[in-house]
Amino acid sequence: MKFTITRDNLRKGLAAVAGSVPTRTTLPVLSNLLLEADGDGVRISGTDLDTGVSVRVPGEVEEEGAITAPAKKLQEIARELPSHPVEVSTRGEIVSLHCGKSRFRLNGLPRDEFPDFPTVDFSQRWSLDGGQLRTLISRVSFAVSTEETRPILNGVLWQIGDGEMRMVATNGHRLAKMSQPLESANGAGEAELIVHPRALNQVTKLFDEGDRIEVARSENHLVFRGEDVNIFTRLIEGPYPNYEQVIPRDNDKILVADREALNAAVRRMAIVASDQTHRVRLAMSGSTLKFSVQTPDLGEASEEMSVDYDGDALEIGFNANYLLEVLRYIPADEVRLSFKAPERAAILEPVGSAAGEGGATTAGAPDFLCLVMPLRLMD
Amino acid sequence: MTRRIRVLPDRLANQIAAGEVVERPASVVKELVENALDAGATRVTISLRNGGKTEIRVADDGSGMGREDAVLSLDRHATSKIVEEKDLAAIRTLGFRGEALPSIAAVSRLNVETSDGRGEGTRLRVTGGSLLAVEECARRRGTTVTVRTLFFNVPARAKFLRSAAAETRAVSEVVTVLALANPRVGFTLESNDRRILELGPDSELRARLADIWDREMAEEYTPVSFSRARTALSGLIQRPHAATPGSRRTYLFVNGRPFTDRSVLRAAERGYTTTVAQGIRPSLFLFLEVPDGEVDVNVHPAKAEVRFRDRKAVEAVVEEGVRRALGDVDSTPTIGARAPEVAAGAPAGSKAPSRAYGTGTGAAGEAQGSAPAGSRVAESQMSFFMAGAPADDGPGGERSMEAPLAAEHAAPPLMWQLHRRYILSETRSGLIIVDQHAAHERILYEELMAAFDRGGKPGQRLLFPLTIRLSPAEFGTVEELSGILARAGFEIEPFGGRSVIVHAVPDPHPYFDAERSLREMISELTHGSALVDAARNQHQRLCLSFACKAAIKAGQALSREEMAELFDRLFATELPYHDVHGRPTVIQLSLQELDNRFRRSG
Repeated sequence: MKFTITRDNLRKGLAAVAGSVPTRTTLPVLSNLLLEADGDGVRISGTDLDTGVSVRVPGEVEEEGAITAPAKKLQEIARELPSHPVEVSTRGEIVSLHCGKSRFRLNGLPRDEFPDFPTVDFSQRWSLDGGQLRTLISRVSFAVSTEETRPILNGVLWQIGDGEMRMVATNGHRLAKMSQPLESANGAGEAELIVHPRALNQVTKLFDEGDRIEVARSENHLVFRGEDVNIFTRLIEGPYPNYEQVIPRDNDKILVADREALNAAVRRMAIVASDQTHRVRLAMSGSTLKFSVQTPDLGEASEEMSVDYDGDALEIGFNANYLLEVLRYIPADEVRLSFKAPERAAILEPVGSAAGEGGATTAGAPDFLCLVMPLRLMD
Repeated sequence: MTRRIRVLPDRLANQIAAGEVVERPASVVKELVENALDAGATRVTISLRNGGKTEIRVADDGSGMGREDAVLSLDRHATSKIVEEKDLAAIRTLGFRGEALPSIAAVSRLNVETSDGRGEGTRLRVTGGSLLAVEECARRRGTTVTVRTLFFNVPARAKFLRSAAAETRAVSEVVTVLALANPRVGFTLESNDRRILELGPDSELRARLADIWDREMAEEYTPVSFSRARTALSGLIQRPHAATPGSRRTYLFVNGRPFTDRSVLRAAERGYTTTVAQGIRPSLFLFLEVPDGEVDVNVHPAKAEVRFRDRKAVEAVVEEGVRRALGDVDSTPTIGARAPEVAAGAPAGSKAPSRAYGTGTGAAGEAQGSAPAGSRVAESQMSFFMAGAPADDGPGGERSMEAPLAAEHAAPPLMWQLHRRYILSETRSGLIIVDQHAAHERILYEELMAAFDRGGKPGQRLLFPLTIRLSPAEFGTVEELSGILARAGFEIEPFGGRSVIVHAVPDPHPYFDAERSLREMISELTHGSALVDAARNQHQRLCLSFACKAAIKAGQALSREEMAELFDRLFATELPYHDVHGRPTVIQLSLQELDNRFRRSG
């Protein structure tokens, strides 16, 4: 194998796949990257078996071939190279890099040892807008569970339907859900996929707004294909819990407030909230929302703000962390909270048009909803 | 009619009294050594022949006696130690009744040589209580008492003496107790010219332990020092991890006087609650100082028991003193050499004491789950303990998604997670190794116990309630404990048959597996375990089980912020150095030990 590539293209390619190389692995070849040279140019790939990334970068191929080489060293070398074309060649399992007057020879491993990427049939595929996908991922994936015994909840549910796609994530304490319109007659029909957020993060990193992304699935894998980038990921096996069932339809106590003001107040209260429960108490009546926290041995705090509220007086407790998270991801300046009772789920939704929201092209509020389960109040 | 009741002659009365005071050579030694100590001796030499059955000799360099005093000392109730009734309430000397010497004299051949350092010494020879001779002799200041052929005139008693070896052992134990109580006095014990104990003068307690037993044994102990009102507790107690089920040593002293008292021991054991496994009885060397009049030592003929005027207060001081000692970093195990002790209150590096390090979320300032005084102690101690946190790598932009409240401006101290199991952190004197699971157990235990005191802990309502099927016995447990479970944050309802539905659970950390923890807890609470069976009540039982099952597991990767929070909360607990099973949470590795191993001097 022998090809020549600009230093910057080499850097770009290596940076794109770096995130998919595992930091610790029992399979040594996984800490290597696969370098392939063929008629289309140069392709660089990395994987941890669960997800994988492969990018194509322009290069002048003199002799086709493939080899794997240590990812970390390649990156470090590329970072320090002078601004000259880089000639990459192999002899046996040795990879040589020539750049200006610098020469490196690295021990590689043969291509055969590198795992094959899963093959997915792209004759059935969805064609999606990069911006829309990025919006969904960035607004929803924060809500996945970190607890590893229910792998389903570690993933994001991605529903692709007729005219709409939707993502949902929850850890059982709070939930985020967002939808985006789809052009009809889109490819491979309806599907429910459970995707690990690691793969989705790669999607937001490697695809831009305006990119077309083609997505296809096999039994166990999902592949995102762009012009130069391929991302594959192993799907998490479902079924996903029936989230529709737990989203309350009868929350009739409605509060509307400025998102930033709400966020600032909760942050202030959280300073004095208990380390263990992070509990803040919200009391609503008339047009006043009163926050309070009491932590034995530490102290207490309270704050009042004027809000639009119509409903009977209500007191409800929440984990401040959950409220803050959700408020951070609400894509609007105003937020609408609705409640039913102190032990029932609260719904938070954006009000009005999206604040600088790319992708949410329809008029009015984006179809975004968060749900937060309360902390039971003891007293 | 002849009179049948008559007053006993003195000799017979003394023989009868001797029955109470003098039982065997060990009791003779005890009385004589106590006299020596009361006389201000700095060195006491005890020599035995044939286990003391043939001869006991006790020599001291105390104040000695003049001739008249010496003769008078043989009379019953002749004593220099109390003059009038009120003195009895303020006894500071070991002896006071004036019974010892005449009692011993009544049942042996006694020889006393004594001198008060003025002029000639005096020698008394007594046989079976009869003073045979009073002679002058040459002697330096001090007293030597020689007791030969003990019980020669009371054959019934003599028959009950055990083997020479057994009697020697008993004497050795008596000398040990007195030597512990008086580390500044030198003791020598010889048996048939063989030296059994050689304890130099001017010692202190730990060194004395090392001299009596061995150095490693002495290193297993951590100091106690606590006082409240006018009752003070000091001494050494065994570190929990060193305590074993067998072979226990307990020595109690009040105002320098040894005593036995089961309920004081039990108070000390209460101080150890949750730091040792069930059935482990740590060794104790405890010294109480109480004001005159607070203790009555005149209860037992051999003064083995005492009576406290306010027993509850004394027990409270013992329990609390032990507990505080166990809250100190010195109660942790070390790898090799212990760091030289740093004077408490030394400035804590560059950081303010109340914020030596931390997540900046108010964690360290919050006195979780313990009496405010107790946690302040733990915290200020930690601040002097932790190295000044190097602020070279503030987390800057990496705001963690999971915990928006986590550190944004604090620079956590340098910490490393080792194999996702242990956390290493630099301290002022070396490094500490924290077991993340054990540490979190201690945190959850104390936080839940404290929450129970204030009515309970809120449960996080679940979007998807859990349905759990239980065995009949487990179902019974859940029904029985439903009130306590609810206060711990578990909202559980019957769900037909033996199933229950769980609507709310505690939320102790982001990796908490509520279903598995609850299942394991219910099983443990139903079938019992060494851990929960040690609990005093159902609340503690639940707390122990919850702590064990809900704590962060070994194998869980933790972020720097999470490690910092774990430290904050651990050192806000009352007993940060011990988990709930009797295992340490923290092991220290001192710089000195590293220097030793790398053969670096100085």
